[in-house]
Amino acid sequence: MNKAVEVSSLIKRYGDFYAVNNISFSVEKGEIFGFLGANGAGKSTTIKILCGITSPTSGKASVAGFDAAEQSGRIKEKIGYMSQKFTLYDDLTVEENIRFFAGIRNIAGDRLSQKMKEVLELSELEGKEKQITRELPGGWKQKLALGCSILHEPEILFLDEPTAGVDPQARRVFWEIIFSLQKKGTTVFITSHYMDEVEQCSRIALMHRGNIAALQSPEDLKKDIIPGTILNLQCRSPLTLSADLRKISEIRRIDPLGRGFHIILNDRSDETLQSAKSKISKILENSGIKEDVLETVPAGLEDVFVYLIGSLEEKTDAA
Amino acid sequence: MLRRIYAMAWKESLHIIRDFRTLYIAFVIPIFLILLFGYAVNFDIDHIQTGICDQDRSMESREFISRLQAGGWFEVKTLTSEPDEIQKALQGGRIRIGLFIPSGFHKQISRGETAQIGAVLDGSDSGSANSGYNYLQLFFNEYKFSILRKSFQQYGLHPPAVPEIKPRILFNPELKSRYYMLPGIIVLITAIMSAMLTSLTAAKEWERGTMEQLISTPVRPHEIILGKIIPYTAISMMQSLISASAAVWIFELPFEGRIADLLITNFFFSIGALGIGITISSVLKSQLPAIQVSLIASMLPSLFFSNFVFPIDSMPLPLRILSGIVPAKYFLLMLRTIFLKGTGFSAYYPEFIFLTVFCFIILAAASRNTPKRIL
Repeated sequence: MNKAVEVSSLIKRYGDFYAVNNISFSVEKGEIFGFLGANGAGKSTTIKILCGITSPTSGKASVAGFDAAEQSGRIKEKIGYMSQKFTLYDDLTVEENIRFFAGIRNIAGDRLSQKMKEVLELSELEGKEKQITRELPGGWKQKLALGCSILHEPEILFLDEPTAGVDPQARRVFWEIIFSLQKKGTTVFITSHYMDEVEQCSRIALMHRGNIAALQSPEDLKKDIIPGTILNLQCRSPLTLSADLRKISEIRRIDPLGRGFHIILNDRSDETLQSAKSKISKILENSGIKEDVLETVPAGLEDVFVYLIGSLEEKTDAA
Repeated sequence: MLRRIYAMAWKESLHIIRDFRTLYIAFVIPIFLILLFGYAVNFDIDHIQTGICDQDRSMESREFISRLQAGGWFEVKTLTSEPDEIQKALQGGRIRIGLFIPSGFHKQISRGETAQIGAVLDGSDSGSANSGYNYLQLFFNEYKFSILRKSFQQYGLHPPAVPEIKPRILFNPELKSRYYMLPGIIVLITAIMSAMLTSLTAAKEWERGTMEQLISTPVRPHEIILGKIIPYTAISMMQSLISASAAVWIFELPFEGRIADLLITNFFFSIGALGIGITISSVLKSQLPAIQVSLIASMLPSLFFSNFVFPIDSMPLPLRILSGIVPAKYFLLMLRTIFLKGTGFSAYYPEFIFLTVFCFIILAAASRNTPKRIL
């Protein structure tokens, strides 16, 4: 009962397709746990199994101490779920939506009025109670959806790409809400495409083709995954250079980024760095292109993500 | 549990109020249908278009024609002395029956000989031809008897007494087919409109993604179904009451029974019909196919296997057995009893029990098809 979520050897198969392919992990209480991965990597499926919306093919998952396959009814009382789809009733007003989801959760009387006030405050919708939800801007809809999914003060909150298509300002507010929930002891399980968002999590599981490719804190991921120094090269017409750059033996990978590349070297030694740098300068000189930037940079989460997926793809291609 | 059902029902009522399409299906279409059916569906054939070729042109022949017209069954459209014109009118469809009065008709009658009148009927409209033939028989019986009476009187004699059949027809003395049909129309409208109303609700939640949200909460399938059914039951009953009132006030359908009987049978039939719609909606998960399938699934049985138009007793055995599970058949029987006979509950309690059982079965089916999980 110490863990909020515990998953072992979980599999979800649709015909021949393994949406979730034998994953195991656990989430501590009070953690903000991030799920990162491309579309179809298995993030949403895993969340749906944990919420008792979908049943697993095999394996074990326990949420708030209850078995996801056997006791989904108990789990549903302990969790909140908000998916990437807009899941409020858009022909109901703001207040009616809150009232409905409260009713479904058996919240009434004084507790309802108190919760109503809290949610309106949280989603900054005070004064807009009578507005039809359809007419709200996207960010507000998402905040209201979040509000409706935490009415019953869930132990664990599952958020499946909650900020997809929401403007940066609204996303910031959204995360403030998430942090305030964490302070109250709520465990938050979130998936996202946005690197800056995932960076806020205490730990990140990187999913790829139904598997967990890495599971660490953001700091550890950046430290551990990439084996070599990263060079940031920004210049005009970088695409013409990539074929020549690939011939340099010290370079392990080249990934396009911005108006140039992130170049990952074979190791972190100084010799490799110096020899790579001089070879790159020579190529630039020969092609008559002047670099704007050529410098070493610390690994970002995006570097880690691209590197990890890239090397996994190479492995599958080789096999 | 009650609070969750209440929350569902309340939310569903808001959807109904906000969506004019629902209100349109609920109230405008039924009124339109009852008016359409009430005025158009009439199997009583009178005013049969008739042509007469009178080649005798005597007092007797004119008397025959005026008697024929006075009965109200036949409407003389063509009166001529040319047989060809009758032929043409029949072929052109202007008349259904042609009668030929040959010259010498009055002489034959006055001499006491058997006079012959020829009749030609248009069999391409078998309904009219059939009724026309029956009416002709009736008319001629009466006509023959009047001639007989006259000749007896000429000789100062009393006409002989002949036995007559004197039927007394119960519940619908004038045998108006409209009285017989109107309850069927109410059944048809209630069945179709109810199924169509709910066929959209579950599918809408699947399409919008809100069903997934509901599944993530502790709300149970039967709570979703009951919550959705409750407001629609009210609408469906209002619909039937509107149809019934229109039948009574506009089309003068007698109402011999008690309103309470009407309400309670209607209540269970409505829930059954609504349950069919919501089950289809849950299975198909998509609004357009759901409303189409519901239309067919509710219309065909209530049209063919309810005794509405086609008598079940004359159907082959497999169809008779099939009709046994059609709730519309039982509801129609009860409605005809309530409207025309006024006999109470004791007259139809087996049918009533079937209806309630059907109601529970369909609600269970709808709940079973609302999953606690998706795949």
